[in-house]
Amino acid sequence: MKTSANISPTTDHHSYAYIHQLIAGILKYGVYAIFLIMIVVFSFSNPRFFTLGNFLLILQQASPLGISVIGMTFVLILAGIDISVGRNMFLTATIIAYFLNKTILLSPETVGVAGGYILILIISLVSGALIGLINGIFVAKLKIVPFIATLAIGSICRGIGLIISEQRTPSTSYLNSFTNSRFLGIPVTLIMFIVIAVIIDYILRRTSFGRHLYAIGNSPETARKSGINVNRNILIAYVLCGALAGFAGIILAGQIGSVPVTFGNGNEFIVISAAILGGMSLFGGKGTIIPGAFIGIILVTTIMNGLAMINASPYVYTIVRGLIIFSAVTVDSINYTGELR
Amino acid sequence: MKDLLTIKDVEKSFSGVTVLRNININLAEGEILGIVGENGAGKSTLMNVLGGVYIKNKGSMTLDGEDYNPLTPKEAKDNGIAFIHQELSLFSNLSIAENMFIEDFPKKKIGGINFKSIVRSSDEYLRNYGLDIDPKEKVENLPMGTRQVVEIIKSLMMNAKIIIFDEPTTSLSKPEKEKLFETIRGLKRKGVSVLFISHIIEDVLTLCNRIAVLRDGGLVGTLNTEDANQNEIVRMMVGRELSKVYPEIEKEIHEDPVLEVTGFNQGQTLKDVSLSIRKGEIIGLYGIIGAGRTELAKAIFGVDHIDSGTVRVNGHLIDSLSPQTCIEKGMAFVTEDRRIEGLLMSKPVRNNITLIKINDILNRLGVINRHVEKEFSDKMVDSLKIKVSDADIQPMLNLSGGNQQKVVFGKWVINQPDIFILDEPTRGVDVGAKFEIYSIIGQMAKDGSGILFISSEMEELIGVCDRILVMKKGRISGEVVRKDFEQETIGNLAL
Repeated sequence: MKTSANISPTTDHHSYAYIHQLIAGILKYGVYAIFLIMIVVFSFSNPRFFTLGNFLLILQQASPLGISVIGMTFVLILAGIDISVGRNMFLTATIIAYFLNKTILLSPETVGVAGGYILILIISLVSGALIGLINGIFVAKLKIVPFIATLAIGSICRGIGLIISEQRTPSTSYLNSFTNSRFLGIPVTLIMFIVIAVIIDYILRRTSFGRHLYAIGNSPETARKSGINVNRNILIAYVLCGALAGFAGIILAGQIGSVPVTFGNGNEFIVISAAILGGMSLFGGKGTIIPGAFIGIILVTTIMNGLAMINASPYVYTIVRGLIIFSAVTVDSINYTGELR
Repeated sequence: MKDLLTIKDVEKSFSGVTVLRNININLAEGEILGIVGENGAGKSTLMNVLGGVYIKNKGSMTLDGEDYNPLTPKEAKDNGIAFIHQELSLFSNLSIAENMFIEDFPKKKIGGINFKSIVRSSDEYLRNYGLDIDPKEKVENLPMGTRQVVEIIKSLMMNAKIIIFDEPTTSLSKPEKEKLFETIRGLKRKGVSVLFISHIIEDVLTLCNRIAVLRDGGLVGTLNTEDANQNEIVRMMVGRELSKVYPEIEKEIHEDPVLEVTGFNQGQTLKDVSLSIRKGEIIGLYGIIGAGRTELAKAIFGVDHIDSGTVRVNGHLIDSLSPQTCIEKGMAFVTEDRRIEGLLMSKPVRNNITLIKINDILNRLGVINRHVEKEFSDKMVDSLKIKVSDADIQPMLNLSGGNQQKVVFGKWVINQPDIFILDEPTRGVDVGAKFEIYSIIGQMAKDGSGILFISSEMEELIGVCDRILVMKKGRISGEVVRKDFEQETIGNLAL
């Protein structure tokens, strides 16, 4: 009698493990399957889709928001979220446009010479970081739910941006010469994306700051008991997220050539859905830059690019965007333990 | 052997209430000292004083001959006192090696963590303690017992001289428990001292050299394990002879059934389960873990869907099973996990007790009548002897396990249900409170309710029930009536 009782749990365990493996497999590779199908469809619909030139374009398009996804990674690992990144991009781009058009500090003449771009970079990083700092103070010190805190700050950012731009569409085409340039045939923005990705990936994987972030995301209380300064780490994560969003903002402004009033609208959702498609969890504690964030943003951008190639209605974009978020979050909610990407 | 730690006349009070008084305990090098006591006896407070979480008000402590007055947990840790909490403090998303060094990573020149070195030294430590696992393995992939050993090794790595274990066996399987005991005995041989807090007296008797018994914040006495037996320890813990572990309540079992369950099927978990409970009857439901007992309870109460089957309450068929209809028809369900499913932990006792009754205590405008609410809650606090300082203010979190469970009962009893489904109602409850809970169950049956009592402790079922049903692999494998109660018969039906 005893033996039969001993055998059955193990067989049950096997079938359970099998189902678990199956689900894990679907979650892990299902995204790629859908992705491949879409590439095939796009390729047959428009012969220009499956070309080296277009792939380079996709990578170039993916770079600015990809940089923001990297920033978002810090926050998502902590089980936080930053809804303000899109409006952070708008405000930062507006500030840069203001300097370019209204002051002599960054007149078109000085931008061209060495140092001009660096100044722009610094201003954008500082502007973005300050917005991130305010987010961080609200979340870490005042303990406001991240979603609401960043939603409010984002709204304020857009308001300030609209006041600065006087609701016009300032030109930022001077930045073109940098953001749309190529080095040895490779888009410069892509190179920047890759460099930032490699650095941040190292920080997350190989430094104690990175490991502490994962620890906090897993269990803040235990982290506190282990002597990790939880609040400071949360603050830093939001500052980094903001700084990289600001940086993404000026690259985007350069690529578009101007800062319309709708600039950055909905970018937070592209960034967050790319991050989650890339294997991050809204529940915190996991996620990688390479390959996670990378795969996420390229998947999303490719789909957007393909839709443009097959002349889809612009309204379809928002529907597809919604579907991407929906599927990504569904996968996350099944609460798969372990790394997806 | 020389004393490593001496605690002398230690006293601790919170806002005027003394929770520890005149504690005198000494711990020798390489000794395993068991600390037992009911919930609320002061075990945790004492350990928190030792661990630097609380600061004592009076008395002195010496560690290794020197005065020891930790002000922070870190200070305690630096002095070689490690605390293994009930809920392990490991990060499940990190590797074993990372967990072991999380507090102080060795760095390389450019600021990165020196992974090679942490993996190498973790591997060495794991091997020394007979764990043949890859230090790069993530903690989430380890079974509970292994995680515990990893945590022990982590504390040894920090040169712990004294390791405090807080209820370490509750989440372990039997073989895991034996392995843990072996590890602890190994610590003892290496000269590490162990404080072992537990309410499972059996464990303490097998493992410890000496046993200190606490009651109501004071030390009742310290026994050598050779001279101790279960009864004596229980007597010291509760302060009275527990000749009667189970209350005797005269009650009448009526003929008419209050609950009839027929032909329950649910996937692989429930197969053709039928049962009926008569008025005033207490039915035990026994089985090993995974036999489907909790699943059955949840299915009867309409929490989980069933493929087929019917439920009749007092002869009336319930058409659509849902918790709401079940409550309306007079069912009550005391869930297995009171913290998650049974109580609003941050709310005071009063709000918890009146949670289900809330619609009946509204005034004409649909607003809660606070006088009636208070009346109801005071009545329950009174009749169930819930120990609480102020039922209107004190949150559930601050109550002991037994009192929390009584509030869960109160929440349902107030509704005067005909049927009680109790899923492990005495889990995590100390000996004294268990007796009171058995009394409440008996009283409910006497008042005419039918009771389904699910438990993994066969003894308590034998002590309390009129009939015991045994489940095995989703089926009812047998039924034993009171006069035939025998551990072996019931055990055989379950296996």
